[in-house]
Amino acid sequence: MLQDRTRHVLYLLLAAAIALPFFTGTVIPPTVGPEAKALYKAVEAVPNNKIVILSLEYEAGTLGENLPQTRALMNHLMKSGKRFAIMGFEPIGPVYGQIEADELAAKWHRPYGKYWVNWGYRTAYVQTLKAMAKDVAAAIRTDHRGVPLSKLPVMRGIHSPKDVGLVIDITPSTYYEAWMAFFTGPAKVKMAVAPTAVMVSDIFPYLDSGQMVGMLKGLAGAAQYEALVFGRTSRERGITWMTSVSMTHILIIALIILGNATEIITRRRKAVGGTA
Amino acid sequence: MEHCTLAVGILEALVSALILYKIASARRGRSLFIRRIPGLAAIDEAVGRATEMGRPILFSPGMDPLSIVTLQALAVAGYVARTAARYNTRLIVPVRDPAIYPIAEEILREAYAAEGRPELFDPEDIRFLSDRQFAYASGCVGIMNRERVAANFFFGYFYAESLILGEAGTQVGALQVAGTPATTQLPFFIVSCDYTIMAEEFYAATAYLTREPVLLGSLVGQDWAKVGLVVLIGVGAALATVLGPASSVLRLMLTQFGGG
Amino acid sequence: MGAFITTPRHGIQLALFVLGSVLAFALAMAAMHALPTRYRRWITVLFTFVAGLFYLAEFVIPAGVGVPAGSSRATDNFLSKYLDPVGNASAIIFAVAVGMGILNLARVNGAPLLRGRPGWQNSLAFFAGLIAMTVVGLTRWHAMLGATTPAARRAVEAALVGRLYHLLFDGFYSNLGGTVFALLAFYIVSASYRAFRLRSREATLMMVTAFIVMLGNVPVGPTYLTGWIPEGHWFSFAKVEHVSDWIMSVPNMAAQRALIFGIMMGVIAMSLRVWLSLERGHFFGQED
Repeated sequence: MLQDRTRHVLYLLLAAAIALPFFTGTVIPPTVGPEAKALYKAVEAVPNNKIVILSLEYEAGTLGENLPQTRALMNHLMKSGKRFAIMGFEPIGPVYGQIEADELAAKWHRPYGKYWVNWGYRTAYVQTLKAMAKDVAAAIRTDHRGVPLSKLPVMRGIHSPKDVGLVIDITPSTYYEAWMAFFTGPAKVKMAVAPTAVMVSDIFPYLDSGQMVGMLKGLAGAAQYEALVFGRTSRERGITWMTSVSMTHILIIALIILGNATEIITRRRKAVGGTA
Repeated sequence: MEHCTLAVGILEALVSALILYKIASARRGRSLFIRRIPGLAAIDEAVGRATEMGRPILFSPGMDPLSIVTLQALAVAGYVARTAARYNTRLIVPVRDPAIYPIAEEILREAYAAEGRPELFDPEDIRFLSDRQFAYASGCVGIMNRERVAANFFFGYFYAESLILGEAGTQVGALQVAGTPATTQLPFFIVSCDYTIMAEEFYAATAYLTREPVLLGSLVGQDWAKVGLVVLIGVGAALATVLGPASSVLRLMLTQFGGG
Repeated sequence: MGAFITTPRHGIQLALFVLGSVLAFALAMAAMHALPTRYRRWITVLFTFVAGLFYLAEFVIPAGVGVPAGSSRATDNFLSKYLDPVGNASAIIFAVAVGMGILNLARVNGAPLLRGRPGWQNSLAFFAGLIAMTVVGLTRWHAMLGATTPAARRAVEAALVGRLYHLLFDGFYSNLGGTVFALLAFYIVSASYRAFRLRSREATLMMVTAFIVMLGNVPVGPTYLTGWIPEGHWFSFAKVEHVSDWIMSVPNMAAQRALIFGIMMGVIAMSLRVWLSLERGHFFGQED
């Protein structure tokens, strides 16, 4: 068991590793992986007469990973003028999505209702997805403020699932399974996911089978996507935050090597002491 | 798929029939072997340790609402409760879903009564903490630190809070046994717990602990069904290799099994 | 009968319907309690079997069976239309349990507070948080009901109740959730330092793999470690991000599939046992 003092030293080193890049302003450019590239291409390929659905299932705890992913995707969608809708089966995701979208809409001059819409928090996700698989607009009916979707220009021509070009689930949980089972699978709509890093290994089978077209692997995926949208040397949130993550990874590796070296030396000393 | 295809229906029927056949065979008295699962064998050790130290045990049935995983976790909780009652050790069960609370209360009450110690049962030891993930984790960590638990059991479906629970338990010096089918959380339990029961071993827990013929038979049937499905996968892989992805036979198989 | 149960109701009709349902449920529970134990068990077994049979039958019966030709429900069978009402009924029954959870919390925290037991401060914090959030949340919700224009909604948010709500929710709740999640970073460091030891060949292999995947997932590995290898070069397979991707998408995926496979077989077997009431153990009762 770790001594308290050792643990406190480890925690202080970690805090320093996370904080240092913010003070020094260092940014390490990311290298784009195939999953982020595939998602970028899938978004680019969405026709202008279709809508992209961003399903935001996260809460405050996973904002560190899911919010940069949301922001990177919204930046791309608004930059390329694609229509998109935000929604969520957890109450907080669409609220944070609205805040980010409002800020980015001002930057890219994409007014609400014309380029994007917030469908808000939806309960009973199985029933909602099944209803959407029959008629998206009829299942949702109003935006998060109660305005009928028929009054919003962004929803013009969006009725059946065939009018949905891509669904991207930004989630720390497994709602993507329900999306695949009840909407994207039966209606044959393309699907991608932006999970937290710990869930990435679970998603690979779906990428391999073609059930998903791309993935953003946690904060690293967000940084890679920002590199695609803005360039590798940009200072968007994901790219700058990944520098701190890089420092912590190096710290963890160094500590593991140090711990093992100490243990090997101690074991050898005991062995020598024992045979002497 | 919304409704099963003919092939899936036949497969389901065959798998179920095999499991039921093995259950019937076990009920007729046939003895069945099950290998040792260290994590489950350590339950008695953990409860004994808590008894010696005079400190309580914490059992968390996971984060899922009432489901197959939670039912299995509660079945293990019942076994742990009987062992704790036998050794006169206190068991605390914090739950996340309020629907599980009355079920957990009933299980523990009956477990203590079955051991002839109904007076040891304290309803306040089953606590609904919160249905919010990190509020629940914080509550469990608080219980571990205030009550200085000697043993922790984490059985059920867990998410990101698994490492918080495991590390907090390590810091108070508790012996920890975890069992979960959540593959994403296995690495965290493996590094922070003394024993980890992973994936399908979790579903074998009740069979292992009770040695009931019905459960053992079901376990053997499920293993044989797995062998059959592995053979089917091998046949599919061989066909795909030999015939190529565009072949009509392969397309038919993909359509029938939901991939087409 | 189905239409009687599923037709939406409003006002006094809704209140009477809810009251009638509660009464019917209470009568059914009283009748169950009055029955001898072995009859009670058989009724439970029967209900479990019929409930499971409904879902199994809905899945197994092909689409179009029992549905008029040319209907908009061509992808459903005659049982599919009952899926939503049955699911809603289950959700309502589970929702009743929320009240029990709050009662339990109040009981567990009330005793230390009333008797001045150690830790009473935590119980006080619980009640303060519960009451504050409930009062502020309900007041804001009620105010929002009457705010039908964006200007009215902004006025509610700018009022005291709106500002209190945001203080409690965004200021306390959201930040506390993020803080607890952030603990994971520190726990990962201490857990890794303690657990990653060269005790065996497998442990060494696991550690080396972990190093490669960690370095491959952050910019520092591809940029500084193997960034000197040009993309497209014959040696580019050794770039840390390619090795990491291969590890995740080949051996890791194979292992994940194997684990999922085994888990699903376990789920099928256990579901079959629960459905047919063959499950044994303390919760499920002993064999007769």
